[in-house]
Amino acid sequence: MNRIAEISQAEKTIDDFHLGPINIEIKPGTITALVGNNGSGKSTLLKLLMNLAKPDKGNIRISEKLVFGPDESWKTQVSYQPQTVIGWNAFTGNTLKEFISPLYPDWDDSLFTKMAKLFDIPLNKRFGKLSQGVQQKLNLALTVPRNTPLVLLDEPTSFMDIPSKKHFIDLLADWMDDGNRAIVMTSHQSADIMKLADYLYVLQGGKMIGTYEKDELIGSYLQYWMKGEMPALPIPGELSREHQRLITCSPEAAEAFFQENDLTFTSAVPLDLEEIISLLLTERKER
Amino acid sequence: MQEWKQAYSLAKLELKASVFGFLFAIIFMMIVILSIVTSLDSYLGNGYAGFDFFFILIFSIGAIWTKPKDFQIKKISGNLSASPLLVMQKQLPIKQEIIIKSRFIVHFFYSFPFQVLTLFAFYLYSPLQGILSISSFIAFSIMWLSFGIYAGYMFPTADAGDKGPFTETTAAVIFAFVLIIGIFFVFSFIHILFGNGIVYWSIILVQKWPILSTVVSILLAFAGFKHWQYYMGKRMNRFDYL
Amino acid sequence: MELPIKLSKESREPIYHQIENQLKALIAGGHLPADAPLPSIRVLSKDLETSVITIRRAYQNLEYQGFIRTSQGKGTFVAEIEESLKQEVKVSAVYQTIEHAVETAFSYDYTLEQIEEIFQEVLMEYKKKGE
Repeated sequence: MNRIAEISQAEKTIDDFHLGPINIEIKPGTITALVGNNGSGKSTLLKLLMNLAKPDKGNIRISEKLVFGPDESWKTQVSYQPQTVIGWNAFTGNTLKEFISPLYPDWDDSLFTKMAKLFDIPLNKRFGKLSQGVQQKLNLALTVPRNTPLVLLDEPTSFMDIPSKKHFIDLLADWMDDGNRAIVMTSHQSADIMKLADYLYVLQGGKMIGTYEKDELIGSYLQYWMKGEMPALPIPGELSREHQRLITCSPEAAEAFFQENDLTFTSAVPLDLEEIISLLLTERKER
Repeated sequence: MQEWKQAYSLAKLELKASVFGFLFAIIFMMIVILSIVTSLDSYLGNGYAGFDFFFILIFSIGAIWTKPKDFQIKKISGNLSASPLLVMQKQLPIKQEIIIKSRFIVHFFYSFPFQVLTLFAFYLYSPLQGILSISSFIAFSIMWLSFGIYAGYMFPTADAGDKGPFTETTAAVIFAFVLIIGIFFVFSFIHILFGNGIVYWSIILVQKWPILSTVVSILLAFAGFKHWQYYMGKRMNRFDYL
Repeated sequence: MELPIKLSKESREPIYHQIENQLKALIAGGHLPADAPLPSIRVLSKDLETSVITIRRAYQNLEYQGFIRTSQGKGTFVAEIEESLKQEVKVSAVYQTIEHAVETAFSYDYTLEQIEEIFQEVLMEYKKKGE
């Protein structure tokens, strides 16, 4: 399959923070969520993709063009919604639209109008005068209709009310129906990740932990409530134990182990994504 | 030329939103121009160092300090300060070349009209008319307008970002204050050393070698204009806009 | 369009399999008639909180078995299916539900005789209600 973006062996040092080596490939039709603690380098990763910062090592390509090369044509292939927008304060939504829309050949004006209506955005008020939530909505209404193959969203729903969040998620799912588009997003909202993400790219303290397909990841963790005595030795893939509960990241091996050692469990229940992410991120810290 | 056209439509975004700022700039610059035009007499007579300072101010930074707050260079991240509009445009499909040229066009609007106004005011309302012939005055004008290019266009390059040692606004203000006093001292020193100030010597220069000074000025202006664009591009490629 | 699909987190049955079976049941039971449009892969993955990979797998299996058809650019629709296939689905759904009940009983250490007794009791309840 062709790819929209690719980062290979990219590294970046900023003061005493080191990001990388980062490897990631973005394919059309997919939504990837960047997951990690605060300061794990998620936003920096998006900025590297946008050439707002340059990697010390490695290559970053969008539409097969090196983003830090002299050919800037890749810029029409990607839209970026930063966490904090700079330089918009003096302008109204209408002015910004007039400025931004002609830059993108596939700009969808009806989608913009729809989003402005859906989110109730006053388009003749200066950006700087809008509340944080409305600023975020306007920012998105000026990002998604660009209809670029790749969209980068940095915490798109952090200031949104519950109904708007739902509308936005529905809208993004419809937008992705095209099949040739891809989204890379950071979010601390588990609903965003549960409803939208296909892949999770997990980062910790600038280090890449891995890329996981969401359902596969959920399927690979299981918690057991044991009957009777707890096993004396750690079970295969054991991550935590308290009272009668055991969590493992390799259920098959664990169950084989139970049979061998005549151990029985009353129930086996998958974990939710939030618990799995917490385990993924704390597990590493201890090592 | 196509690039300059695109750059102009880019610059319009800021210029249109700065109309009130311009009114403020015009009023303020009128006062400055008026005060230096009327002080030329005393400058030529008994050497008043403040004259050089204000004169060079107009022919370098022009009126950029009257820019509306939303367009002033501000802290972007860490210790990088840059023009918010440049950062915004860097995230859009706009060629870096065009962004740079648009910053230069904005600077042009904040400097050139006031510089021409200053020269006119001088010629019409000061004793300069008696000192310089029309042709020497044209040479004088070209000399200073050129200065406005090779020295003035250094300032829009700061829009690309500056990794100043002063991230705090107060520290930056103190730094600017010290810098201004420093420049004042340099000007005064020149006065004491050579008996007269920079503007005085430029008048002498165009009187004695009008053609030479014109040619040299224009060459410097061309070179400077090219150089600052190149320099700004280099800075944009170097900085991280995190 | 939202489909009445409910995924069981507790179930050990793979998610794509659950989706597949529930869609089959909806089609066989007549809730989704032939030519009814199905949600796109992306929209269903959002509604069910799975990845598109899972939905795609379920749709592919259903298409392979002749329950649904995809027409390029238009979307996915319920296919025309034979009565015998419908019956097959219904029968296997009933079988599966009863099997599941038996498994639950086993996990509580019931004997086969005890399970049979419970089953008879439940049937008796329904008979009474029916009369």
